[in-house]
Amino acid sequence: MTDVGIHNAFFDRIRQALAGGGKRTPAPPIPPAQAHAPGQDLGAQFGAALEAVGGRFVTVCSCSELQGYLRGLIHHHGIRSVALSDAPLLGALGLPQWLSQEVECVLPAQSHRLPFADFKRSLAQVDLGVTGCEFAIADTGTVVISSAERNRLISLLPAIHVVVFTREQLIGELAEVLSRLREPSRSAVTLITGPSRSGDIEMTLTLGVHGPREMYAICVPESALP
Amino acid sequence: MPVDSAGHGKPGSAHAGRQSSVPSFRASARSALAQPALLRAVSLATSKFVSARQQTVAQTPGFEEAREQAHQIKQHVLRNLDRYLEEFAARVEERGGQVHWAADASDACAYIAAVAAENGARRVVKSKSMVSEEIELNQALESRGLEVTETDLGEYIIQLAGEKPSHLLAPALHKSRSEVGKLFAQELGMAYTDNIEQLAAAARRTLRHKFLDAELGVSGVNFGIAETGTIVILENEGNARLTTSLPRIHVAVMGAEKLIPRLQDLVVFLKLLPRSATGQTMTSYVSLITGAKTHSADEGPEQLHVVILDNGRSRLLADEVQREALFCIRCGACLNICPVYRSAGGHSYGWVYQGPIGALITPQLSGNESASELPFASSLCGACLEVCPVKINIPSLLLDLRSKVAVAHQPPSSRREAMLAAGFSFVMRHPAWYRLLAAVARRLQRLALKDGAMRTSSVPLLSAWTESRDFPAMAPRSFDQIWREELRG
Repeated sequence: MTDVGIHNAFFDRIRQALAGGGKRTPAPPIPPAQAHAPGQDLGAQFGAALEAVGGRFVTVCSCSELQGYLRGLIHHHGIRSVALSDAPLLGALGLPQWLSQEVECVLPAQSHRLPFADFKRSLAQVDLGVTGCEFAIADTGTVVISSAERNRLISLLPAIHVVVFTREQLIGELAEVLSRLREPSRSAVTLITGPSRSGDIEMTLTLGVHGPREMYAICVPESALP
Repeated sequence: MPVDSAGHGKPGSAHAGRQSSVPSFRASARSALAQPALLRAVSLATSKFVSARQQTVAQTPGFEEAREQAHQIKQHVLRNLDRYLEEFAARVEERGGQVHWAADASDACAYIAAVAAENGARRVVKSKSMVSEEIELNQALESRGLEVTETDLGEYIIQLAGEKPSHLLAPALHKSRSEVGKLFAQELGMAYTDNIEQLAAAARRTLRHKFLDAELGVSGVNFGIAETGTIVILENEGNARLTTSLPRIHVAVMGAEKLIPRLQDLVVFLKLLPRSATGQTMTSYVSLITGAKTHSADEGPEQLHVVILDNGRSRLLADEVQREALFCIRCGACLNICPVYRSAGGHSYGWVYQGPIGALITPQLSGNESASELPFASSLCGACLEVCPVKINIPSLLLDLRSKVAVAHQPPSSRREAMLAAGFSFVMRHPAWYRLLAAVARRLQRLALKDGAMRTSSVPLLSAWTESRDFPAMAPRSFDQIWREELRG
């Protein structure tokens, strides 16, 4: 059968099945988003939700405080290599330059110009991936990343993922995020809520089965930006 | 086609479901009941799932409203399925994806094999997908010389062991850590350990290489969004993200019923699915994939193929009662709560879908004669309806299916049953006959009594009833007798 023939046969069966069916109805209205209480501390809500699923959340007040926190992580985990996504925020915070003094190897944005096959193999050797995000959802402790910033693999292959965002990127709940994403502009948008987990052996929680074992979210105020 | 009352689906027509045999529930359940370790594991796992779900749902405002909304959305989508399929496919193609319409399992498998052949792909990684189990994709690709690796930890264990999943969500819940340890020692050449962390780490290492080498990744689809052509995949491990990001080609296999109209409808379904499945407020990862990559410098696959599968679904769609079974979002809540599933385990259901929803859709999708006893593998207690996130009235659909099976089958004993029923009716209408026969039965039952209940495996007629049910002994004196002798003033 031709492609058109296959398509038509498929739809003939569906339409035939529906012919005897009920009346066609309009799509049910989209339930209104729940208004969250004004003055609610979105940062605290986000942190509580993320930590409940094994992630870590910290708010820093300045660039030097951010560097201090990252230095602590680097020492604690013995991190020797870092990959950074293209998020403008990371550059604005001066992280590429600063990290290149702190660790042996930094995969900077330019290395993404490597052929994809080489890029993914070198990334698989990296200890820490640092990305930004589009939004952070307070309700569930979720960060939303989009492939526009080339963070799809940097947030996934290294065993530790650090995501940095500003307070302005914090949003109450998923409904608001989806209304802003209306036309997903890039091929992949990913909602990340905590580290990779599995309960597949004896229902016992195991972290870092395929994705990162550790996930840190760091909120920086706009004022920390130079 | 024993349960096909709608008259669609000529035998042998392209959309008739798979025909491979589904083993008898009675036989499989009996063998499961003889494995106490298996039943302990099932009971432990399902109790954990049930209490995690209960806890989270209790803390979720608007959960009941969301169930009702989801029910209405699904109902709407199925009534307008042709329109939404057209819309979804158009959006996928606009974004550089290719859509293939698969009438049945072999069609879907042949298409995926052709995609692999055209691109010279030899190594395939797969994330968890019930529909790929349904079409037996692994066997189909392996028979064409491809290497297929399941990457979900549970599915990987099952694949190494050469078994079938026993639960929609936790496919290896019937395996103990020491069994997994022995399996990994044997198959991965590592030293034996029953340390779960170490076992998971070994799987991570082995599978990382598979991911990096694979040319083709196969995933399932939890929701397809018609308005944007987006594929939504929920998971906790990250293997679905790896499967859909690392290989050059991504093939997503989707049942035709999986569509929802709008991106905003996800709010409702993301509220329901993780909570109903594992008691999580959100899974670790939710991937929204819209088309293939548009910029050559982007990460991700160069090609996206979406295989949309009928495989018996149009037959279910045609039946206005049974259509509701297509609302299912595969959360597994009805399995966990079901007394039959909890006692008999997942393998008893004989195919890829287990528990109450399996009892409902296996006979109808597989179109298989031997699965027609599945609708009877239920106590109709209604617990599945109470937990179903999209409010499928499973007990009532099972009853409907039972009657269709009964009408189609007219069992050979029906004449005898009719005579028994007529006799019963006569006796019940004639008190003297009733008293006489009851007195006789009370004396005769001693021959068949054991431990206070009838053991009538040797008694003709009665054995069909007592084979799988208790038949309590008649009391030494009837109520009528006690009334006459003691109670009446």
